[in-house]
Amino acid sequence: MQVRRLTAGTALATAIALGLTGCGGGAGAVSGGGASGVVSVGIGEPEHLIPTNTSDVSGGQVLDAVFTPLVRFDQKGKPVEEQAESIRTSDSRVWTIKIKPGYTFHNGEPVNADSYLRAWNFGAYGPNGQQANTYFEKIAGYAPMNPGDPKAAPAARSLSGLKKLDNLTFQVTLSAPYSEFSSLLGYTAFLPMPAVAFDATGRITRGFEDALIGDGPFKMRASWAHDQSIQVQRYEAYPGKKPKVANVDFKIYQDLTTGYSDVRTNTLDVLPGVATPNLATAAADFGTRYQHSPQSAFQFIAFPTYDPDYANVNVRRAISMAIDRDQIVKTIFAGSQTAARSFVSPVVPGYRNDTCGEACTYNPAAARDLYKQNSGPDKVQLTYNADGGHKEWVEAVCNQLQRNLGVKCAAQAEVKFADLLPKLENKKPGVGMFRLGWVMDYPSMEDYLTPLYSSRGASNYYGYSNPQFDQLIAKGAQQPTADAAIKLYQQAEDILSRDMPVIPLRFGQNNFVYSTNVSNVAVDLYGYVNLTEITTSAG
Amino acid sequence: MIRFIVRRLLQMVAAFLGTTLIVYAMTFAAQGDPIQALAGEKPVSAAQRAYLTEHFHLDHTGFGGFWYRYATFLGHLLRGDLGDTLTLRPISSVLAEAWPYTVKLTGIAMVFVVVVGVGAGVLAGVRKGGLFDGATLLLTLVVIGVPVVVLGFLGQYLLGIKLAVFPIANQGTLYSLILPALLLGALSLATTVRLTRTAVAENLRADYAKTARAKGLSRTRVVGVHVLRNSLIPVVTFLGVELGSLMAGAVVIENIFNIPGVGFTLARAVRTDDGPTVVTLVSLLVVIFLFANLVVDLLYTALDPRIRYA
Repeated sequence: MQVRRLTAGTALATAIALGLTGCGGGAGAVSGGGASGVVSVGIGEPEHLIPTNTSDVSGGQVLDAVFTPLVRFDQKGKPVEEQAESIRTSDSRVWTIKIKPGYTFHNGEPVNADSYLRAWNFGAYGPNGQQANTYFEKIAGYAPMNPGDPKAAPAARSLSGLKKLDNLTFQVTLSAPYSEFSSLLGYTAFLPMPAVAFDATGRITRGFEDALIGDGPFKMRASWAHDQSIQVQRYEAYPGKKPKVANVDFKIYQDLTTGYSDVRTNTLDVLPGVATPNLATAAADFGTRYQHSPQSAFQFIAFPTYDPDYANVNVRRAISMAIDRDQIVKTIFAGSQTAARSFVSPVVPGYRNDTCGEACTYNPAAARDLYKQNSGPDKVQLTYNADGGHKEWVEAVCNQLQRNLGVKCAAQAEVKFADLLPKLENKKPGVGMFRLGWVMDYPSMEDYLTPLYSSRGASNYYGYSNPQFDQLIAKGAQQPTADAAIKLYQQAEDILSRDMPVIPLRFGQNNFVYSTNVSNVAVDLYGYVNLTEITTSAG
Repeated sequence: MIRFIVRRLLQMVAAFLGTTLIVYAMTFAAQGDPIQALAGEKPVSAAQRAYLTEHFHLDHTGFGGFWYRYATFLGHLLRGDLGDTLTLRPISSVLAEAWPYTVKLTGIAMVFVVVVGVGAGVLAGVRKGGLFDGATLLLTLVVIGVPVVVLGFLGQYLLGIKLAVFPIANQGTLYSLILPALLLGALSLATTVRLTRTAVAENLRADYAKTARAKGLSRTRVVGVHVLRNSLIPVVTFLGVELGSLMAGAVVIENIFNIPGVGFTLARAVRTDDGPTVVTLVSLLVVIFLFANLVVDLLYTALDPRIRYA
């Protein structure tokens, strides 16, 4: 299970070296604000726009406009059929997916079962090197397509678990039951692809990525102008709910603070993510046009539970109780994030408030007593990556620990996250506690519990292992319905509040601003602007 | 003359090899795990890691691996193959899109520096000690003392947001490039004014200027033709070297004003550990810098007939 981890996005202008001159021609003009009936949305340069190769927010936002997923999510995070007519299962293992008729790709090609099968087979085939490759691992037949040794040729070119039943229906067999498979289908990796996307050798057709052909409410108006803009227009033959605006320009920013200034002067219409330096003044600059919406990011401090210093649960609880989350959220994040007292994000179905209970309630006196009674270490260390804008809050946490527990606390920076990761993977000594973040791929408790806390979780760097917890998660996945699974997941979460492998700190929010040209602006769980509902005053 | 150019070209080859080797070595040494850097804080799938490792020869490590990769890089470069970025876009097409912006930006900046800088310098030099001289002295001192990053944000805030004279970021139009170009040029401008002023003031006292005046030539002609031509030599030398500063400044300014030029691309490549892009871009900038300075040397002969190359 590969899941996105949080990149806190402070784009800092690392200015070294040199830059310039030569010879060249003109460049495409980027149209500005809503004046011409165009809504502009500020994003970063997407890494890729092939669905199975896209995992960044910017690329996801564009794909959300150009493609239609099988399911979307309602306000409570439950999957609702979008392009799927029905998604059925009786045992959570064999799933039958029926597609609504009438959908076409922007080149007129109808969307059918083959559109999905070819896209998924391409994504799951190891040698294609797709970023979202591991999302297909739950489907039967994934292993032969991805031999462990990269030099060995895979034994299969397609997923044996995929079967076409008729033109609009296909069957997916999973290698093990998974009760929330329909939520997984809402992720960008599972979008369909037209036949023209692939050439005779089965690779992506040259130039397809720049002139994307999808099946969504918007189609490309021009080729992807790298680092400048991606322009789309309403697809008039779209059978689903049609957007209210005719054109959308995704304007690409390297530094989000520039985008922020552009919204202030009404040059840009929507900026879905306000950068940290602007948060302090956003309310004053924009008034009611500065808004928040829930989002799935979860920031926490993890304990190296294999380290004798932190092996005692009560020491971990004491450290957690000595942190004043509310103060940090208020003073450092200017209310742009909320304090976390549970182990899963509020956006997933099954979330309960305050599952961490007493251990996450700020109580310096009790924390100190507990810490002393259990003879916690005299010196603690908190490691963070310096490339994510974490310095301030990590130092604030350290100061609180020094003051409230009477210990020495060192805030230790690693230059890049990529430097920190190998140290965590190899359980190198001297790291101490460390910060991590998590962003979900699809709204499910399981998408937090398995990767973060299960014994073999892809992001469990803390050596935490509780067989009872693992068992509950495994049982949850086998339930016939998602609701039945949630009950078990909640029991699993209760175990976490007793074991405290991590300290929940903050939940993220979308902090967005918009110009006076647009209204009905909403940003969803993924941080995508809802382009179907947005309206512009210029019509 | 021809011999001089050939000799300089040969020197340039050596300089080019030296700089690319240093840049390549630095990038090689500083690189942690570029594939992880590409993915940010997400785990990288085994399939993708295997694919990228092979594509960029990342499995060649250590001393031998360095020379192998450097040789491969150089071989491709000589054949005109600039390679791919870490996100697998051909660097040549990245450059083709970025180039025009940077050319326009630095072009405007250069014109601004030459016209305004030399103009103001001559005025200040002719009226040495006057009000205009004092004012430019003060102003240039202030500008020289401010780093380009501060100047960029300040200019954007005052002229873009507060006064709303200029668009605050690139909009694809030439007009939106004017403010960033002026700010980029401001630093070189200050030095150009000072240099021109000193040279003009000095040359005005020189014997040949006095002779020209004594012959009855008009003051404008003396200053505009005789004095200016000689005074330009230090300025031209400075501008040749200053091209490097302009390149560095472009990295900062293009980021602040969201101009997708070469500096912008380079800054991102540095930030995302995109070694292939960094090395290729810096190598090309080195070539440009070398050529610009060759042009400067050739300009000397045009400015001062006493200078000849053999």
